[in-house]
Amino acid sequence: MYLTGYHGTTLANANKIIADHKFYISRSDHEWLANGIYFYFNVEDALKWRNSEAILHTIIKIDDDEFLDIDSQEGSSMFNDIAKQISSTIPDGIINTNFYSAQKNQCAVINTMWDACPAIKIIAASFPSEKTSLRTIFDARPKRREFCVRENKYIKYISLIKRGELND
Amino acid sequence: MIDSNKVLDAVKKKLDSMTEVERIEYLKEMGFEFNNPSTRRRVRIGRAVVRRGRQSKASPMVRASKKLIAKKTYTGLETVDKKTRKKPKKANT
Repeated sequence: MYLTGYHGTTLANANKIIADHKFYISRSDHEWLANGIYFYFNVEDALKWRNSEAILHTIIKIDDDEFLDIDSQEGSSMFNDIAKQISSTIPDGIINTNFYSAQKNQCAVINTMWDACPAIKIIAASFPSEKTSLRTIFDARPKRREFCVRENKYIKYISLIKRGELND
Repeated sequence: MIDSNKVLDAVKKKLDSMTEVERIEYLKEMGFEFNNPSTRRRVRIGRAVVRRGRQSKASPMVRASKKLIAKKTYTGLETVDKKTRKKPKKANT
């Protein structure tokens, strides 16, 4: 399968990526889809991301059974089962479950999935595009869909789009 | 899409292959944030066992008894200023 992704960045970084034909892998303990290279499905979301100066339009190729979509019913139920599986194998109360740990735990669950199942090459999911204004149980914030590619070798094509080129 | 059962089985298999200590270490490596076990010592003051550390959880009664112990063990109480609890400065002769 082929996927088209848009990566927003600064113009200097975009030129470096094009020259090296290689993306920098995001590594931290709070990446939403764990360590990897992040793309939006929608060019508009990439433009909005930190007011990007440049967009890298990429084409990624993987096998159909190497893609995991957490937004799908099957994917979200699997994510929930894995989270339950992890918490059931260790004594109660060891994992920090307070609100501020949510992002780290999210990253850690995905890291565990990547590590236990190397067959996964891309994970896709939707995340809120705005900060919380009023915290409620029901999260009605608009979402944007993104995906994370584990390694550079699946990226087959990169082209640069400058922000100015997209203006009227 | 990848078979979700395959991913779930792989995670289960990985976790089941480890001892509890190894599993905790592995999950820490994956980035889970663990609660720190309490390092505060438990000490007995009077009849109550209290934790002594940065945050005191002692009840007012225990706090009072702590003060009492402190008072009893304090030497040279008479030589300090009762308000500031500081020893008066020696005169510079």
